Amino acid sequence: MVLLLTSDNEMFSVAEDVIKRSAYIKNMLEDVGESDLPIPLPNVESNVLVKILEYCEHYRGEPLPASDVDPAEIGDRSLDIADWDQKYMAVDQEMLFEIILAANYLDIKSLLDVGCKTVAKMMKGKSSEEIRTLFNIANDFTPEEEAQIRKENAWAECR
Amino acid sequence: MSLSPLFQIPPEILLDCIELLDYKSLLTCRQVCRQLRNLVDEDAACQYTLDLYTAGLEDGPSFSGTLSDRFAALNQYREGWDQLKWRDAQMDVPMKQGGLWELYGGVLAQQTQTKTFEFTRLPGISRGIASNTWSLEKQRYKVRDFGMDPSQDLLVLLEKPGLDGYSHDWVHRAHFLSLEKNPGAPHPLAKGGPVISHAQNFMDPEMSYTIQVSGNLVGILIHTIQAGENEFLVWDWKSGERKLYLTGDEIRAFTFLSDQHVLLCVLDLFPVEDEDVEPTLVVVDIQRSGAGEPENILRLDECIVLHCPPFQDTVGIASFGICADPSPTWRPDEKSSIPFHLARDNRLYVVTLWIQVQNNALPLWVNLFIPSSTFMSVVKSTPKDASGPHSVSWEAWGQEGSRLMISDLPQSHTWVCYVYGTRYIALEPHQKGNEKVWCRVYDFNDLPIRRGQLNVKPENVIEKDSEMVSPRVSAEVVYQTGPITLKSGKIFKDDVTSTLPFRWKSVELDILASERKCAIMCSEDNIIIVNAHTRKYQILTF
Repeated sequence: MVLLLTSDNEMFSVAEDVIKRSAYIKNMLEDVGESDLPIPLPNVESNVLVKILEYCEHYRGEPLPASDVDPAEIGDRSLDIADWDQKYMAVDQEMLFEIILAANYLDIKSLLDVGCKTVAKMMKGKSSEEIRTLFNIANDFTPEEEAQIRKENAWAECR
Repeated sequence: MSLSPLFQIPPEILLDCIELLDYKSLLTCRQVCRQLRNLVDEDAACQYTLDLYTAGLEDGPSFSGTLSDRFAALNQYREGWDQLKWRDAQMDVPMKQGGLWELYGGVLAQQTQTKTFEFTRLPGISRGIASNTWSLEKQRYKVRDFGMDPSQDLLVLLEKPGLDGYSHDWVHRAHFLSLEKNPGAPHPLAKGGPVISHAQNFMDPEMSYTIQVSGNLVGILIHTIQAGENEFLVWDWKSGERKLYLTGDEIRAFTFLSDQHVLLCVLDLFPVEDEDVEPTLVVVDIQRSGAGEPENILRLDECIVLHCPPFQDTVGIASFGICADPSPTWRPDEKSSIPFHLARDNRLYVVTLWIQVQNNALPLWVNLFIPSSTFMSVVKSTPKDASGPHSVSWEAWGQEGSRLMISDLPQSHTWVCYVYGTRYIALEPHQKGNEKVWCRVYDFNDLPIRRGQLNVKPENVIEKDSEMVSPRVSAEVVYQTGPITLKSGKIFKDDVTSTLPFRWKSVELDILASERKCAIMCSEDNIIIVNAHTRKYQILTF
């Protein structure tokens, strides 16, 4: 078992083969070896870790992604998300971004991918005003800039 | 105002999200706020998505290169076709004399004199496609015609019917075979069996055929000469289920419009006045039409009839055909490692009427260039519950949505693969014997011009006095944005205006006009010169 200590000081005891989906922890375990000391996760709150562990638990036993993928290579560019992942990601926006941040920090690539796809899917097909409302973004363009961008985008306006 | 959660995640992760978006959402992102605009503008992957869309292309299914590999391939491919600078002209394919040939999906297929088939996968330099050749041995039955779809590894052989045929009957049999993986073996996806049969109650030894595959669908048009009527059939070749059965000599040609619609060239349907010669394009929804009993095209209830401009009574129509390539649902196969390919629905339909004007011995080609978006917007705006054929006037669909040109560019009746995606290729006429032959390529994708990626010579012809668009060579890319009006006169009853913008450019070929008797075709990576003089296909590769 591996002990994890969240930012709000909660201790979690997790099976090694579950948490190894996190490349960050997997590497740490390999570097440090067997240890009774908890691994501190100062960037992850307990409610987020619960959610992360739900993901790792679900994919327990599935092969881990290869670590030798060339980062310049472009992977899957589709927005298809597996059914279970979609249900898993059906959380409020705050939690969605917490999951993305934690997946990034813990280096869980498949979860980060699903998070990015979820955000992309939320943006896709929406108008600029809808995107602003959705993510609470202020429009910082001047009217002149807005007109300029419309002009720059005009090439793609469909006939 | 509190900070958006979008900007609380590290910028590289936000980029990972945005890089997944399509061109349209990327352009919308540019309008949201400065930060998103700058991300899109400064990110190479986002720019690649926009460039790919501009070129009318989409990502290949399993390309494993880096982004810079993709950019390099795209720029090479795009510049090659925009400037008509092929990268290689070394390949020749000898012409066989078996009588049957086909060019589809980058594969040239020919029947030989000994009734075997020889296949050549044409190379592509920018997209990294290696050439390959293979063959199929002689079948026990005589092959009357064939079709194929290399991306599905599908070869459709149509067995010659008749009492002198292998089966001694008047049943049409289409055989669904593996094309390349296991040439000649029954296709593993033809779950309904490797043969689809279609019996006819009349005999006509002179029947000819048009075969096309589009995804799960195969369409066969049977042209009759001596007896019976033309028949048009569509099957789901995987299940063996018949989807459509239409009859009538008025059906002259067909092509697929979508996974649900076919487009038929129908002559003399619903004439406005009795003596009018009126070619129409008829859109039939496969899912809404009956597949059981044969239905006559003139009595078809549910269809959309697109009218062409009416011709003068004295004009004779010798042929009426349509060409579009590849089929609208075509996809490269899943394992294909090409970086990109022609985007879905990005198709140009070239309708060709070969007309004879009285007192004018020379036949003329009336070409109507129609992008698939024009058809699909008509389909979308047609009420679903309409009963009876839904008629759409030329002014309503063609004026804005197409380009009509009359020319004496010598277009071949035999070598008909002159369109691919949004490109159309033709030979320039009128060269003297000691001069080189020129060809010209039209491209109806004008996004690169609208986006300022391509320098062009603008041309804005407001009105033409003559009925003909006189062809002339231009080594520069010409961008035709203005409407062309063909005055009423010997050909048309009314003035005919069409406005769809397009670009074109001519290029010299390494063939002397004296050795002509040649035709020209194109595919995704090649220009193919059919040289009847040297009996070779000369392959120019991009």
